[in-house]
Amino acid sequence: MRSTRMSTEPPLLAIEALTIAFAGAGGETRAVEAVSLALGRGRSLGLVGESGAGKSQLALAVPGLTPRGARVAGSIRFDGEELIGAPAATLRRLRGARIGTVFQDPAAALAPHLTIGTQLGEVLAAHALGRGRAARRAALAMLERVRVPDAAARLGQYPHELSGGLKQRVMLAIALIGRPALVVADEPTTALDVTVEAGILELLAELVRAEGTALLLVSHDLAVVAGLCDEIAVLYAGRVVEQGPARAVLAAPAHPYTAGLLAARLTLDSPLDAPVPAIPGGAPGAGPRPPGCGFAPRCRRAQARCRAAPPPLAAQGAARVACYLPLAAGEAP
Amino acid sequence: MRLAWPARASLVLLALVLVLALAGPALSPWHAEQLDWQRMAVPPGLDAGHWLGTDRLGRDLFVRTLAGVRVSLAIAGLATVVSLVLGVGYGAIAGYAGGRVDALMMRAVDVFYSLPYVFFVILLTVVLERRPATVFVAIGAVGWLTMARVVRGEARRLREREFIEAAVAAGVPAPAILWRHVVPNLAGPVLVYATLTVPALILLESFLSFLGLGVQEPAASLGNLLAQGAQEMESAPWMLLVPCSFLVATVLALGFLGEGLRDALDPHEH
Repeated sequence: MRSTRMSTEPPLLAIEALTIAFAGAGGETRAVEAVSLALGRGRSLGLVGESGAGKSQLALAVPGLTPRGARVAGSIRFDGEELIGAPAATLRRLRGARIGTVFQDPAAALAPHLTIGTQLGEVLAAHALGRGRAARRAALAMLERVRVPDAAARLGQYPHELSGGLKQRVMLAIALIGRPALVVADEPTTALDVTVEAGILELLAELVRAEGTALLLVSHDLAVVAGLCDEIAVLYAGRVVEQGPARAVLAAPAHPYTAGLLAARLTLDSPLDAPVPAIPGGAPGAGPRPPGCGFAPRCRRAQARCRAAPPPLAAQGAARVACYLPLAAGEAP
Repeated sequence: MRLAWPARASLVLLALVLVLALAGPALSPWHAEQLDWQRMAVPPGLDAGHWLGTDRLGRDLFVRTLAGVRVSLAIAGLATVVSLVLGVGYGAIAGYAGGRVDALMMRAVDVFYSLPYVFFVILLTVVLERRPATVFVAIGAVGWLTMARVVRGEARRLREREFIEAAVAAGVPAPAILWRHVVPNLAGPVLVYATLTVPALILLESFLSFLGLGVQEPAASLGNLLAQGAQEMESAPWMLLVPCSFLVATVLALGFLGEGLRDALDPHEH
């Protein structure tokens, strides 16, 4: 596996020291803090973490969808172009055409009052990719590529006439119809039935592979990331705690948090009477965070220096880990 | 959508008033500005086709009232359309843009609101001729302000909806988002508010005409008919009661219809 960091061409997406903060009554909450990540052309990166870890904020900052009122600092370079502080027209040109976005809940993200064909055509029209009959043909072809059955009839239907799985296929079609170089998928299957989840993920993997599209996938499901992504970044309290090749990280997690997440997974052969394994404690809420490692309050291995200053990301095998006391391969957290 | 019975009854009553206003005058042998020298101030009856009586100059009240209904409805209807177009456009832009643009646009609305209205109308009637068109301009200038506020609030709420964010994420330009995503979703509250605006504007027109600032003699409007009727209230009460009952029926029916629409379109009521 060729690492993007070692290749000579600049990565498609380079996030440097990104901080996203929200002002609140109790002080500033840093949803994302000093995160640096890179994603090469045609490669895939999975962002995992608990709810509130900042993974969605991080991913949605790429197409510039950070909520109003947030303070954003750092740098996001897409294909050599700086996106933070970029004029609205630049962002609009990139969105839909170069960066596609798949939202979590297709029932909310599809406009209820517009037909599927109109919504697909709208993306094409926004980027001068086709109008009228040509747009209709392109929309039909795209619906067929996301394997929506009876695609021609669906063009004239409204979102409420489609099942949840079909809606998410349409959402994928909207994200991909502009042939973007990068797709940002924010928990694309969280709102769906488990039975349709696998189908959507398979389709997403197949589409990005076929098109050579880079994928930034947000998930709280390690199995999903393991199956879909080349690389993984584990977030905790707004910081990357571990990142590296997905397979290597999941086979031998070095950060106690990653190891805890892995241990908390249930499988079909988990004993039914045993308690569900969990990481003790809860994720930090809003407000300023204590100095030191965000995970220290829940970490059994934490020492005084863990609470004093946050550990930097340091190379550990194939991965990079932000921990003073990383686990050796196979060691229990 | 299912309307409650008062709203449905109001629809029937409104249709009746409208048909009468349009077709009624043709049924009568008289026309609105014709004087009947033999029968001045006669009470309602079958005498010579003056079904609802005549006024002091012998003009047929049935025909004059219906002509007045027509003028009042036309002014209120047109002003409502103007307030719809202006208010929805202005409010949607302010609400969707948000931030400083919103603050600036809504402060401008506040300034318009705080102008002394009657003074403004008197000024208008001095500058312009006293014609129905002037009344229409005066009413239209004010009617859209509340609509703009209603729409702006609604647009602000819509802006946070995920399908709008998804359209932004797809690179759809702001004007297209406004036109295709925001405006169609305003239809419910706008429709309700427009139905409630028509009666308010009818009353406003009547008020202006009653004061002599609106539609002028010999043209009839509900307002100036009421003003004349009020002078004869003791000797010839029908001159007040006839236009009054038409005004009350129309305004009440529109009010009930608006309430009915609001309840039918309110998602919380289901």
